[in-house]
Amino acid sequence: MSTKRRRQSKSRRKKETRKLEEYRKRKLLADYEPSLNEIVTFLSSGVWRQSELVSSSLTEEDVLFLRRLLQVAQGHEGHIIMHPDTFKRLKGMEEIIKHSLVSHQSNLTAQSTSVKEAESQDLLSSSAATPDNILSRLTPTTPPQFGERLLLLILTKEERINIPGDLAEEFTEIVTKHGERYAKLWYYKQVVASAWPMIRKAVRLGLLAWVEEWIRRRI
Amino acid sequence: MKEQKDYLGQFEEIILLAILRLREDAYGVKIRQKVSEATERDVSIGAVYATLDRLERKGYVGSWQGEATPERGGRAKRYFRIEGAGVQALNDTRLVRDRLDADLDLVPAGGAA
Repeated sequence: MSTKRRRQSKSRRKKETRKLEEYRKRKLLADYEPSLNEIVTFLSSGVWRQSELVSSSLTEEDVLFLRRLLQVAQGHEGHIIMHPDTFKRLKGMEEIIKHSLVSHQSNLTAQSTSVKEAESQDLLSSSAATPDNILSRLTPTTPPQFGERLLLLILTKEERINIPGDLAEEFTEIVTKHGERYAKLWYYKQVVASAWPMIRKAVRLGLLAWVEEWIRRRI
Repeated sequence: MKEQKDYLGQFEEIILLAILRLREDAYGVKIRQKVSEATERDVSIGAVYATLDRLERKGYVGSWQGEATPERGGRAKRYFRIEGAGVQALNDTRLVRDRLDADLDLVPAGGAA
């Protein structure tokens, strides 16, 4: 590695170490230290919509985890830039957690519990309460209806049996990992990409011949 | 008379190799993800199925319907497996490439090192 590159990577590492120290100085929880990235990604996930979140599917561990996440995220408020949607979800999460606490009839109080109490209950040491596990247990989301209808218009009779199902499955996976907005963009991109061979054929055959073939393929 | 061999297109070869790698788990979503991962670009599901249908017509792959799941809106999966003719086509294509590649001195872009 050249001297210049070595110097650049050293200064980058120093910057990262400084950032890390800054986060640690804030009131982070003793046991579990979710990274800021993890919190923002988790909160940005399109799954956290009040209307769709089924709070009864959350376990006690999930609820505790969410409370800690919320405490950490609230600690960062004012120090980080958050997308307006993320901020809204953060506020919405407070209501969801309150509702979940009531519905689970847990012995946790509505006031914020201390970290030591949570540690002594040993619930957060459970490997079950991680972002991926929680997200995977939530209700699968459905692809955009308009996109699905467009897809059914493009596909042949045989393709309609499998392709919409494949895209729906992958859509749910992508919502979990990257959020709903990204997933919708991805879905429409897939629809357009699948339509492209048909568009090329239409130009090649001429419009009338293409319409004839399109009708034939759908029957 | 020598047997007419059919050589695979680039994307056909990639799809067949993906099916080989996935073994029993070779259905639309997994095949698409495997191909996207290997080619480092987002491949459309339409292109994957168009190629799979073409390979099935040639007898290189076979398919069967699997179970429906809620994530798929209650729709069934279509699994694929490579047939003997598909393996033969892969080997034939590879043989041609090896013959053409043999003793070829490929000079890197920008001239010799």
